[in-house]
Amino acid sequence: MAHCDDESLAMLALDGTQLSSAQAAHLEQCAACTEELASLRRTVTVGRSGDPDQELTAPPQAVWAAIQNELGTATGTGTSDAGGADAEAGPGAGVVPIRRAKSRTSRRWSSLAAAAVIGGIIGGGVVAATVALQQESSQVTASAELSPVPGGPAGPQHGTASVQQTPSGPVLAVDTEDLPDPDGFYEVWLMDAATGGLIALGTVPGGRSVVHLPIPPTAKLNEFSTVDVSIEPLDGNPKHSATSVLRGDLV
Amino acid sequence: MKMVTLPHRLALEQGGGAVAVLVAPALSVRLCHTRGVQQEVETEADIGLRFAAGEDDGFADAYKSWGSLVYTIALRSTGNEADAADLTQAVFVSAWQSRGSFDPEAGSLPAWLVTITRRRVADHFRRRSVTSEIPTEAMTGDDPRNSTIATRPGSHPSDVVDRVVVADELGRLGEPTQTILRLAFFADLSQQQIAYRLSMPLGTVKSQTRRGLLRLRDRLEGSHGPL
Repeated sequence: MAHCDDESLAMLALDGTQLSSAQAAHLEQCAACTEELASLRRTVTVGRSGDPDQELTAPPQAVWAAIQNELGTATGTGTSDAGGADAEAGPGAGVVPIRRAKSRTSRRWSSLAAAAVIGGIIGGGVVAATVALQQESSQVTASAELSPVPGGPAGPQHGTASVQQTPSGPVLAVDTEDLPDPDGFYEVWLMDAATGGLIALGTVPGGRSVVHLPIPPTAKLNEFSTVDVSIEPLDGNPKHSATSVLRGDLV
Repeated sequence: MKMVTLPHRLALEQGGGAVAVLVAPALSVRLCHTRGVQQEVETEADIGLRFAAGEDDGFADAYKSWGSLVYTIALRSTGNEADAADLTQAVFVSAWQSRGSFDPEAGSLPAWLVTITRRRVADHFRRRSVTSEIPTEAMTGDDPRNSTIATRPGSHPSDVVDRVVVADELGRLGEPTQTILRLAFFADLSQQQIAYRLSMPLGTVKSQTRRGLLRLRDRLEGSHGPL
């Protein structure tokens, strides 16, 4: 006879509804129908053991920022106006983990996410991060603990920075946490504490993020050995604003 | 209406109009248009095409649509937000960089993204198995059906991914299919009992069950990638 129909196999997989004797006989000697039944049974098992009220958790805003930073493209970016937190939202940001009332379906969740505005990773000097996911193959040669600066804005922000020698050159891996959403943007610098000299490396977003910023290979890290994170206004002035939120010495 | 070639066999809800469904107290009352499901399916295919074509907005829409699915899988698999964030980043970056290997005609984009997520989850556990006492085979994310290690049921990393994927797809089903399957899965009702509860013909319930289960199965199998 012909193969077992989908519905009979589905019923068998779901609640054990027996096949007709003709179908049962066919099943015994048909590999295709046996595999079809097995795949339906697996689906039922997985479906039954899932969470009936499963709610998806949206990734933190910093994840989209880190993705764009790593790809070094203008993927979906645009300049954000001064409109505040919403304008900086990435796709899927601004959609906080929703504790939905039970009457909302996850399809509604999808359209909420779709309505989130795609903002940009802002900053006058977004540096394309050219380092791929090769963290395991790179070597850390110096690192710094980043803490709020005495006399600067206090707060929970903190982080670490490490110099990594990668196949494509030295990179500063900056891991920051609890950086408040800036009015403007955050810039990472290498500073020569003795002379006040500064090398701008690139931007990091607020919140929590890990960013890899290429270091000019000719930079003298024994002189520019302080990592500084400043808050910069979007005024087109490339100079350090003199307001540092995090700093640490590379050792 | 624009014709779209759908990458995989799907049971589209036909026709328009609203479907009102009266359900058990534990579940909610939903009013929705079956047409909406068809549109969602077409949108999903459209994002896949734009993604494959290398369009930036295709990448952004893919993240909007399935970033939370990937993140939730990563969170449930690794158990902590930092690893989940790193893993999500890794998935989308490598997905975009290898978009040339995604064929929108051959499979769905979310399924392909989940396949990548599985590998990243497996890598995550492989790195950690060096310090743990649990045998590596149990952590590789390989097909648990082939595993010879007796792990606690449901604890295999691949099981976690499977559950999130199927639960997510269940939530994307239109009505009355979703309610019918929920009653079958979680309330343990027979087809006959569901037909009675929903005041629907038995034949309709069975037909909807078949279509819904096939769609869940296709999404689950698709998310395992080529064998």
